[in-house]
Amino acid sequence: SFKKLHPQEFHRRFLGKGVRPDGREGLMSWRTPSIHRGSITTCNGSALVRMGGTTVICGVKAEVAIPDTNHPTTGFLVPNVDFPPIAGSQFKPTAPGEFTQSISEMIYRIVKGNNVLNLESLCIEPGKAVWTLHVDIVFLNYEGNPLDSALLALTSALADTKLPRVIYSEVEGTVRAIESFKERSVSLELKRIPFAATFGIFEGPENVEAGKAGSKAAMADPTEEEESVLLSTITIVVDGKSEDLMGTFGGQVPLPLLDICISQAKKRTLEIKKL
Amino acid sequence: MKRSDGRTELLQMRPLSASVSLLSRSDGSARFAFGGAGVVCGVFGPAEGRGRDAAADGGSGLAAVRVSAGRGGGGAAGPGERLAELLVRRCCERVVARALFPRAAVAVTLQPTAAAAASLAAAVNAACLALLDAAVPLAALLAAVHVAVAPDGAICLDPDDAEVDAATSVHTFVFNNADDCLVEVVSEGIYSEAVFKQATAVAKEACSAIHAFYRQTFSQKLLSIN
Repeated sequence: SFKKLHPQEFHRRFLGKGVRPDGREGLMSWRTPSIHRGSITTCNGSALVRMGGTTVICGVKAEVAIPDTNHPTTGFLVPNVDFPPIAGSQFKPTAPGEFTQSISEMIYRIVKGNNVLNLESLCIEPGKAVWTLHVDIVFLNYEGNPLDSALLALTSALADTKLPRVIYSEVEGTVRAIESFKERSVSLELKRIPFAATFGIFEGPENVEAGKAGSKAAMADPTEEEESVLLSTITIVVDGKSEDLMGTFGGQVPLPLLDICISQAKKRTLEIKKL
Repeated sequence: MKRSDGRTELLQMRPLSASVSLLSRSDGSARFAFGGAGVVCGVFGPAEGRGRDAAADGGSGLAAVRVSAGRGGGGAAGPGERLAELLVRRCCERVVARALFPRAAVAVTLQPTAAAAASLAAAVNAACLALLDAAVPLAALLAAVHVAVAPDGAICLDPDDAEVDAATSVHTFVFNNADDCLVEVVSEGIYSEAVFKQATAVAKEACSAIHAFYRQTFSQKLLSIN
């Protein structure tokens, strides 16, 4: 009941000792994700990611489309994020709200252009047919840190995606699958694999150890419960292949703390890469 | 060296222009522009908030800041506008002294003045000036600026549309004039940690220049009243 009356104070006392409500030790400890690939057979690629209580599934469906006349060899990668009511009582079955649209937009910015996938590789026949990859990310249970889990699901699903080998037929004006090759399908080649690391920023007590700078402190991978005591979050996206950064979203971070977060994000990426 | 719009220095912003109290119906208004990319902002409030505006933190019932961003070239607002709204709202919420008027709402409306891509930085700056003009109590002032990194690694301050299209990464930084805290950052593209640090330093300096520009703008307004 102390927890319900004074959530800020309750959490602050634990965070002061470096203990997280879900039992994690240390402010910079992350929930270990579990990834299951290929569970949806009707999709070209899919992945189910669980990070603590947050559960999200991503399906990739490929469709043939006519390319833009200005970019005749460029395919399309269309991400979409959805929080259906099953994910939590705060989500209503109405049109996507600001929260959902902003997560969608952040994901889009990370994967747009040729950042992750060379869109030219989706070309079937220049000017006539290209692949469009619809990447649908659906949250089944929301317990904090949507961006990290959504991006992990997206990259895992893309890695799992296989496109059928096809050939464009001039005569018919359509695309059909090639039967003669031994390998029916080809995997996508990802240029970069982005991993997001989200930190929550909160007013820290004086004796906080890791992640302290001035009076603000950072905790890694906030759960939904911890979100209520946060001032803000900061997400740093790191490429698994080159250690380059691919996106930063967030605020209210003292600059020294930002440096700490960036190096923690890189460490985290090295650990997740192995999965 | 020459940039695409004739500027000679990489760390040179386009000419800043701002004016306040331009709209007669709003409690406060301002226009802020980096060269030709400008945003007009109207602020209404603090006024009676509707039930759904009340912040979801239960206890203190702090005021909400509502942001609606119109699109420069016409057309319905899409997810890009939603993200812009979210960012401007977050920045404003951090500086507006919301505890002074609980259960009230401050409405911030932004309208880009050019058909070119609405500059998020100009929007934040216009919002800050408009809040000042409306005499909404603020804890600090905000200044925002864009920084682009060209393919050759050059860091350009306040890029125009051509430079943004050609850049390998584009960053938007928002600083306040109270502490060493980065109020908001949005980056997209591919960049290294070293480049990011450089860009942050460049932006911080530019933001102090913008803060000085705010003082100038307001002194002009106050002098002209007398």
